[in-house]
Amino acid sequence: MDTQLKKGVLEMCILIQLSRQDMYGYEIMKIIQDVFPEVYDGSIYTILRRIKGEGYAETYMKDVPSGGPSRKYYRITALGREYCDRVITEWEKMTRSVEKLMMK
Amino acid sequence: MNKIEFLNELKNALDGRLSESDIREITSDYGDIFDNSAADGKTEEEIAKEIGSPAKIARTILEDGVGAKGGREYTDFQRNINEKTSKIFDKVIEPDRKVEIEKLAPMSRRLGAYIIDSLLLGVVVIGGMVALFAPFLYMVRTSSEQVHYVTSNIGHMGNQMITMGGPASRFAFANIIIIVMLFGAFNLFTTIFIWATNGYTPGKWILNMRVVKINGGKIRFLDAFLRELVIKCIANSLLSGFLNLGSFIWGCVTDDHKTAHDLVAQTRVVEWDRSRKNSVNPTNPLES
Repeated sequence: MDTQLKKGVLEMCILIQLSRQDMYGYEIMKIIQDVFPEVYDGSIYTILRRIKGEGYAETYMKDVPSGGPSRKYYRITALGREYCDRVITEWEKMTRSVEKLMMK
Repeated sequence: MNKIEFLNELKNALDGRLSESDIREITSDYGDIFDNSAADGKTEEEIAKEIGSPAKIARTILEDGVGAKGGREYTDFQRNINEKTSKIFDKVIEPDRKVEIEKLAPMSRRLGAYIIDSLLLGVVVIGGMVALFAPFLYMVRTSSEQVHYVTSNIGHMGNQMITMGGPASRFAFANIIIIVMLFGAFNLFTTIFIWATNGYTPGKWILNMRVVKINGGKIRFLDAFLRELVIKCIANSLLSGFLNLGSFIWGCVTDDHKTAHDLVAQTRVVEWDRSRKNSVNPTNPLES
């Protein structure tokens, strides 16, 4: 798959996850790799960093209930939600167009 | 390769090309992968093999360019400003998802309504003008040597009034001011009209259109005031009429026909068939 497209799609998937609940990096990684097994770990962290850099999510530390080092959680911002909505609309528009083309 | 070796190699590959804090964050992220995967029962060697080579990871991070040196560093204040301006820009550019594009009135029809309203304005102004100038014209007519001024064209008459001087020119000047105020008064009239009828002007009423709030609420007086008087009249006059012209062109080339006054008042103009039954009790079409 084209890497730019892949990055965009992964970013959308991550934002969709985050819009449901706050998550820590590894948790997000596992969920994404469940559906995209070929995606390698580093790229998800790179995307998470970009999401944070763009201001779509913020991070905070939270202790693990079972003890151990605290985890870095990602929380979606209002800007991130807005952006996520926009990307989903675009995505739906695009898939509809592709479907239309394939039906011909 | 174990965790420590992996993280050191990653750190060396990034050293000097990203800020200290970025490198610390990245290595802590990858440390997390090790810790969490270890909790799943994997050895550090297995995990390192799964993640891939630190050099390759460093390369993708640098290619991605987030926080890379050479990219601009913004202060919090600048970031804040950038965020705000990009939000405003998005508002101008992006269609509002709450408004169905099919329901929006086409710009041609809105221009039609504008022309109708302007003609109405013309009638009001000309009527006012005739009423105000009538005594003046009468004065001119009675002084026999001035009769030819009246018969020449109106623009010419304006020049003559100024050269005449005295109370007559002052009277004409006052009239001009009153005419300017009449324009404002007309916009005040449409303001009250839109507010009182929740979205109609005479032109829009004739052409089956309505102004509605994006959020689905009733049009408040402030909305109508901002839309009709502040933007369409005052701001437009200050910009020599280019604001409304620009708004019209912008509305024509964009999907959701957003004009400056729509943007400020957070309104849209939609098609609205008055012959439908629900027009008796006008509800907002965006609510449904």
